[in-house]
Amino acid sequence: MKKVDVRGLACPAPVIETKKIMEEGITEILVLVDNDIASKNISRLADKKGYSFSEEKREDGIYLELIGKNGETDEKQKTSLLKDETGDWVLLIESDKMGSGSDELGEILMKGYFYALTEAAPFPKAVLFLNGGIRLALKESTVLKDLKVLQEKGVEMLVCGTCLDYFNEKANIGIGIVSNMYDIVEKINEAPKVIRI
Amino acid sequence: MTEGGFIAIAFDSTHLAIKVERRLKGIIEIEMIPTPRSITASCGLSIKTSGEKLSLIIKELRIMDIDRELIRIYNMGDGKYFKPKEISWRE
Repeated sequence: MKKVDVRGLACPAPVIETKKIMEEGITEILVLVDNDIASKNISRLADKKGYSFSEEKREDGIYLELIGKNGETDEKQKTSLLKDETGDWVLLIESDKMGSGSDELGEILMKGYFYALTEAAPFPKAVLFLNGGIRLALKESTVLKDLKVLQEKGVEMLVCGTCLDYFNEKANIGIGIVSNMYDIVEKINEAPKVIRI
Repeated sequence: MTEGGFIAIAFDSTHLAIKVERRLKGIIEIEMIPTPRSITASCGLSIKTSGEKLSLIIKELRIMDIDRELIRIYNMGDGKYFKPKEISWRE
């Protein structure tokens, strides 16, 4: 049985740590928490992932025993856990600034958006950069670090080739693949939800 | 205390956050981020930087003509799940 001690960690760390263990395909997990909220959250996670859940309160903390059903940690379960990482929605970025009113604030907000997006699974299936939005995908972009994190999580980055050409930035692309309008149309058509920023 | 980790400077004013960012970015490596959820009150903007730069930041903030009550500095530890600890920096 795999033991994990998450006492002292703030929410949502106990759940995330437990989820990581589940994603390793381990079926018998003993989690040690120090509060009821963490216990309840892990109970919900166990339910969602098909693990049985039992709780025992002791002096040094709450012991949670999680057992995968019939010892199942097959590839199917692994795949479904991995699938949680990226959703099927697409993000359409048409400007390097978020909203209108102040360009300075718009840049800060956009940067904040991508920073926060890296911490909010499920991630988009793809991010499409168009028009002034392509600046975010250039080498000197302030969000490049966050885009790289998203790319590592499996998010596709498509950058409009026509736009790179228009702004004479083809040589400066820092992330993603140069794409054409056919690819962009396809991505938009396939997605059940497109969010335009 | 903050060695190896990062600190967040949280602001109660967006304009003040931008003003401080402008001053600090030429001096040290910083990043403007949305204030981490674990810090409850602020305008929503924070400056993230390495804990090793704490004394330098405090020095710069003390030089600036700003309302110190609107700025709080937190030790964020080495990860996003660390419980933030406020660092006393005002004289």
